[in-house]
Amino acid sequence: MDPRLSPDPTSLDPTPGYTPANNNTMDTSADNHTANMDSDMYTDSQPAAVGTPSSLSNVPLTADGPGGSGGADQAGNSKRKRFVKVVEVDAPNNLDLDAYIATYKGHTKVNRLEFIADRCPSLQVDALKLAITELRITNTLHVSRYINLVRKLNEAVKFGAPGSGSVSSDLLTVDKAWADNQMLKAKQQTDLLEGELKNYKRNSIKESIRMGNIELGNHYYACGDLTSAHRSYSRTRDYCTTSKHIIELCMNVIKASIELGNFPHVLTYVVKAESTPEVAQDKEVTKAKLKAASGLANLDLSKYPAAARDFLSIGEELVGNQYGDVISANDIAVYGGLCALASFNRTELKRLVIDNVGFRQYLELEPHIRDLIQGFYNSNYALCLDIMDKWKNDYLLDLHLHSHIEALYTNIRKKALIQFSSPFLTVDLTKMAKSFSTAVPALEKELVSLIIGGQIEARIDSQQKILWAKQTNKRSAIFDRSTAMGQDYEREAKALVLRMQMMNHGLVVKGPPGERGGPNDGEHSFEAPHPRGGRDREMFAGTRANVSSFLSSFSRERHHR
Amino acid sequence: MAPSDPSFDEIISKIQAATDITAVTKTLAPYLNNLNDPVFAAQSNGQADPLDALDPATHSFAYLYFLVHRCKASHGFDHALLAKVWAFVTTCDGEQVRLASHKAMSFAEALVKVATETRQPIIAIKPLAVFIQRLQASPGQLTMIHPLLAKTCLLAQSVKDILPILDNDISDVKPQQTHINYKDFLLYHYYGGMIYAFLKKFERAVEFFKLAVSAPAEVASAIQIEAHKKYVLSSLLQYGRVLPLPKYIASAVQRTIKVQCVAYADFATAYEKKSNSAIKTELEKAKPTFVRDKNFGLAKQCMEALHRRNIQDLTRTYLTLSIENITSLIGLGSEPDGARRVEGFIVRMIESGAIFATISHEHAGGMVSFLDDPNQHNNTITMDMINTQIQKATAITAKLSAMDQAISSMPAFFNKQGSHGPEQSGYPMDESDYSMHMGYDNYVDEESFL
Repeated sequence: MDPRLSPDPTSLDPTPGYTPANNNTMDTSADNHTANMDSDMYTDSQPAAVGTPSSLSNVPLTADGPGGSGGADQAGNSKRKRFVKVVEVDAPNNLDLDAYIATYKGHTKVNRLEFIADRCPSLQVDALKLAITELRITNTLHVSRYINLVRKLNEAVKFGAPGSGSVSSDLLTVDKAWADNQMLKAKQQTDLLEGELKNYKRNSIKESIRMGNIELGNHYYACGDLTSAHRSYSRTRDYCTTSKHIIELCMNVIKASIELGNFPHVLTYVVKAESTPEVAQDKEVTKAKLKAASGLANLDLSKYPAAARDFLSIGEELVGNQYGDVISANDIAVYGGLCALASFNRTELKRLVIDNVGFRQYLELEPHIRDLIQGFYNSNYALCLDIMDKWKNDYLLDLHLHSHIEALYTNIRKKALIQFSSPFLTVDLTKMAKSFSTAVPALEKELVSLIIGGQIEARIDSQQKILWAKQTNKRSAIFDRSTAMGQDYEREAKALVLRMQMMNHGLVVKGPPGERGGPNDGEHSFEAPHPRGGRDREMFAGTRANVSSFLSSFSRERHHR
Repeated sequence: MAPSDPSFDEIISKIQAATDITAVTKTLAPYLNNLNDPVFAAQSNGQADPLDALDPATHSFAYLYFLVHRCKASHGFDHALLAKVWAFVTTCDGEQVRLASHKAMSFAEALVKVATETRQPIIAIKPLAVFIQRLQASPGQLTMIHPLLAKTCLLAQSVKDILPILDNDISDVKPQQTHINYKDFLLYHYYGGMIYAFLKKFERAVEFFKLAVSAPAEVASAIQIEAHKKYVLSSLLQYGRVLPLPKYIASAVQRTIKVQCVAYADFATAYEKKSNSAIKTELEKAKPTFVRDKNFGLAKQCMEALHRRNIQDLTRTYLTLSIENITSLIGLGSEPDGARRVEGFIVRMIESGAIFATISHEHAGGMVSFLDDPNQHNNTITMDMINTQIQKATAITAKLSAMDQAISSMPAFFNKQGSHGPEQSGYPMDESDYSMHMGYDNYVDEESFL
């Protein structure tokens, strides 16, 4: 039996219970935490066994094995309605776990490790080992997470995941003493900080209240209670006096929101931070961090062009992983490159990516992205698709990117098709299929959908398998359009004239008088003293407005057909 | 004849004395109105029929009175009466008849009654059609008889005679002269739309239904709702989507439509998505409603039209396609004789000019090559067409501007306008805006050139 990625449904039981999982619960259990991050991943309960996918367009899904993350089905419906399928990745081709994870620090390190452990059986044990070690080393106060990870590790070893042999026993057992110690510490700290905060509030010193709230927020964050952390951070807003405070507030809230997965929030606070008058120190780094955060948010909201622009404008500050507790420099390269390729046209691609000096350093970190972009720009589609293929598994293991990989890849592929066929009058579909490594029927289907979507102006000769660029006879088109317009105009004008006549002569559908009882009768008699005056004036104004608006706006409206 | 009634000869002489239209209005009309009905049934002492003594052309007014009564009183197929009716309608004097519009209506109704009693509604149609054309002051005027004629044509399923009348759009509605009310307008356009649908001229049908639905209304009329239902189906048939209704449609009508025509709206949304199976399911779901509203025939025709439209869409993406492929692409792949039906569709569409293609049976199953529209638009036909269009457009714009000027120069409007001052209207008072040239200019400018 292959090792299940996610624990048995029984152990994952808490997950379905809290459908409004993400932002509301005060429960600081580890499950909650993972559900926060992964709930959108667990929406569809069909885990699949996938090798390197053969075709880029869809990942075949088969329902395998026991319910697996079936229990998590309901949890995912909470926040996001997107259906992200849990994809099991056999083995990433290029991922060096240690080097990869070294670029991160803080919570995101453990998050990513857990994510990888859930997805990839071959790296499961290693990832969990690293995660647990990390938690121990940093003396985390988030004890429940530690316990959860240990339990997952035990499961993995039980199922004989690769690498289980080398797991030392001290990792496998929960260090009860240490855990209790940490929990006690956490509790004490919480009480202490809350007490202090109460004090400060009594003394009404703004600055101390603010600092108290921040400390409390930091503490909650360390304990893994993100919602309380978010709340504490937000509370400091009333006590911020200088722009430095505001920036600090924004950065904290952004950090908590990203981990909560509440990306619209992130965007709001980024805007807020960017609009405050800047402080001198750390200006560039802060700006870069804000751009990175906003890029991440846009990526999550599937706004790829905006995300691309954000990532590309970061500049050189974050090359050294200064924002490592959120995003690494490699990530910037990958996210920025892929989004740009999926959304920009040729000029933009050249101007904003290839000629972008600031972005070059990031691209150095991920040379394959650089090759991808260059290949696309030089119309070397086989190379592009090859690279995309090779790295797909890795990206499916990325915390922020996995749910967008399909969309991004499809976009890039579409653009490649369009770009391929644009310079030619006729294209041989067999040759095209070869350079895009698909079969002709599949290619034909893709092209048809592009043609119908209006992105390719061509027609297919399906007998000889040739794509012919369309030569529209503009002149005929104009004649047809003008006749149609003429007829429409005539018809509408006549209808308008008729309508005015009808209203003038009172040929209006009226209910039978007295049917609705008293009020109607009253109206009816009211008509008598003002038969022509008021009503006529309304009619005149109305009809005149109708006529002039018709005359002036007819052409404008019709033009947009 | 009662003793107090005037004698037959007196009546005749009085009628014959009124020679021109003024005399008719002033003297004859009240006189005849005062006479009792039995008078008209009577015959002269010499057993002569008063109708013979009167000439339908010059004494149309009085003739009408007599004729109405005869028709009302007749039973069965009276050949002589019908001959007189025909003579009357073909030669009567429009002006005089217009004066007696109530009687004209009674006449029409009586004629229809005669026709239905003899179970030959068709005999009423031609005379009525001619009668309407005489009754109208201008070709586009709506009379009370229009809806009656339309209904009779529908019942008799003979539409040849009413077509010339239908083709003249209604442009003139004057209740004072014709004593019509809103129901006549609605019913005429509703029946007219149905007639056009019967003739499969769905473009006109859509127009007529649209006119019915968008007629000014304070409350919604059931006729409008029914017209809307047929509007939806005809629009789907002709255009593949429901054309938006004009902006000035009454709010009461809109509200009622939302409530009453839900099944049709659902069907329309499914239809616009073009998925065969989805549409079929919607159709089945809505079938009871359609059958109850007697619109099922239209709905079935929609399905046919869907296939034709899908084939047309294919011409935009493909240059050549085998018939097998076409069948599967438009969703008929699972039907047993799908390919044969598709070929039939294509042949008919080529014949009707809906698509331009050639079918070759060189390969098994047949291959269809789609061609471009061979009409190069560079001949005199196009020129003439454009010219007529331009003339029509300028004519109607002139009419509109004239109406506009007439209204704006009325004292009532002027006063109201003046009280609000220049800031209200936002259009300048100089008349160059309202010359037909300006309206036309707008229209031309926007069309320039991509």
